[in-house]
Amino acid sequence: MSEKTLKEALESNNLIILVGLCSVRYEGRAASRLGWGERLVIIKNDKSVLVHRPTGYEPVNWQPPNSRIEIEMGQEGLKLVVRRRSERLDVSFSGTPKMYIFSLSDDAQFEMYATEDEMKSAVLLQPDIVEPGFKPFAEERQVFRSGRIDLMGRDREGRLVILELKKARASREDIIQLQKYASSIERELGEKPRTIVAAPSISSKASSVCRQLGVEFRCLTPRMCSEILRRSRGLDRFTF
Amino acid sequence: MSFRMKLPTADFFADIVKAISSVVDEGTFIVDENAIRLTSMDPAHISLVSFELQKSAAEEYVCEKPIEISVSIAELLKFLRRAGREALTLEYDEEKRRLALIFADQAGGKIRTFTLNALETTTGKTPIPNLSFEASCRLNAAAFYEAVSDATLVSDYTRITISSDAVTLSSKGDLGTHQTRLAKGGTVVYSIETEREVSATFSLTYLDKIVSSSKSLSDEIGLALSNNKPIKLSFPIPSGKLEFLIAPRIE
Repeated sequence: MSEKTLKEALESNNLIILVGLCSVRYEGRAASRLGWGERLVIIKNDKSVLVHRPTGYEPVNWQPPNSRIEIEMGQEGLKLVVRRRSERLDVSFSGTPKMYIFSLSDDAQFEMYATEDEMKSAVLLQPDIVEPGFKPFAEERQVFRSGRIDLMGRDREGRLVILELKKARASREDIIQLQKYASSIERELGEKPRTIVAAPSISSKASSVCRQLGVEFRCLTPRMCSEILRRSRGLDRFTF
Repeated sequence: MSFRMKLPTADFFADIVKAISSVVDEGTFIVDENAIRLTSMDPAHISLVSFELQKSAAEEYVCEKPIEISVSIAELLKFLRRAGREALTLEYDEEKRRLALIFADQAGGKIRTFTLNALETTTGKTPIPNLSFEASCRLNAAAFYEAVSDATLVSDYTRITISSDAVTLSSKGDLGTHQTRLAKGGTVVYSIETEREVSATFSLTYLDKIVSSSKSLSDEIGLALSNNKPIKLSFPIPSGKLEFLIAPRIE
C-alpha cells in the first residue's frame, strides 16, 4: 500500500490501522519519548490518533479528535506527524508498516444504564415512578448503626416511606436490611414507615420475605432511570 | 397520488433538508391543504427542528387529505444533493407509500425521477418545549457561523450572551479562550431586542452542526434566548419557517 493511498484514506476520513516497528515522541502539555518497539497506531474517522503497545488496554500516546495529521515517507520509513494546538506527536516507523484501511459507519447511540446513585437522581426528578404522589424529602438518611436509607419521603396520604433502590435483582438480604432501617426509624421517630424496595426484579425468597415483613416491591430498572435522566438533560425538561 | 408539490428550484428544498438532517436521520413530514411541516427532536432530545413551508412557496400544490410521510432524511438528502438548477416536484403515493422526486430541467427537456420508500411512522407527536424568550436578535448568518467555528477551536461548549448593545460568544478550554463580540450598530448585527442581559451555555457539537448545515439557506439568522433556557435559532425562508431549539448545558 502506498503513501498516496494512505493520504487518500486520510482525506476521506477513513479508519487507518498501522502496525510496525516505530519510535514515538510527544511534546505539548508534557514531553515523552518512547524508543523502538512494535506497535499498533490507529487513526480514527474523526482524526483522533491512538498508539498502542502490545499489552495494556490504554494507548501509550494519543491525540484527541480533529488533530492535523501529516504523512511523509522519509529515507528511514513512514513518518506520522500529529498536531493539535501546541501539541505534537511524532511516530517514526522503520520502513513501511502494515496498513489497513476501513470505511466504518456507526451511528448507534451508546447507552450506559444508570447506577444506583443515578437511579436515586431519577426518582428525585420524577418521584411518580415509585408511586403517584410520592414526595421524597431526604436522601442518604443516616440510620442509627444500620447504615443509610437511599430515599425517605411521604406518600400521598402523608405516611412515611423509606425506599431502597437496587440496580440488580432484590435479594432476601436487601429486604432484611430494609426492615432493619424501618425498625431504626420507627424507634427514632415513633412512626412506622412504609417500606418499598425498587429494583428491576426480585428473587422468590426475597418476595416471600417481603410478604412476611410487609415490604412492598416496585419494578424500577436502571434503563427506565437512564431514560428519565437523559430526558432531564435535554429539551424535555422545558416541555411542561 | 395523494400529495404533489412543485417547487421552482430544487436546491432550495435540498438546503432545507440538509438543515433538517443536522438534527434527525428520520423524520415525518405532515402535509395538509395549506403547508408541509416537520417537527422533530434528535435521539438525545438536545435539539429540535421545526420546519414549515406554506403552499404559496409552490408553483403547484395539491393535497387531497392530511397525510404523514415518514422518510429517511439521510436518503432523501442523498437524492436532493443531485439537485441542480431544476424545478422539483415531490409526489407521494399513499397506497404504495412511495415518495417521488422529479427534477425537471425545462429548457434542456431533461426529467430525472427518484423514488424513496416511506418508513413506518413509529414516533408519536414530538413534545414542543413551552418557552418564552427575554431577548432576541437578528444577525448576519456568516458572522454567527464564524463565531461558532472559532469557539470550536478552544472548547466543546460556548456561552451566548445577548445584551442591549451586543451579542457575545465566549468559550473556555483547557488551553485557551475565545470571544466574539458582535456589536449593535455594526453591519453584522441587524437588530437586538432585550430589556436586560441574558445568557446560556450550549454544546458546540449541536450548534456547529445546525448552523453549518443551515447557513446556505439565508444571510440572516435570528436568535432568541433567556437565562439558562434553550436557544431558538431561526432562518428566514420565503413562505415558511425553519427554526431550531438547542437545550442549554447544565452548569
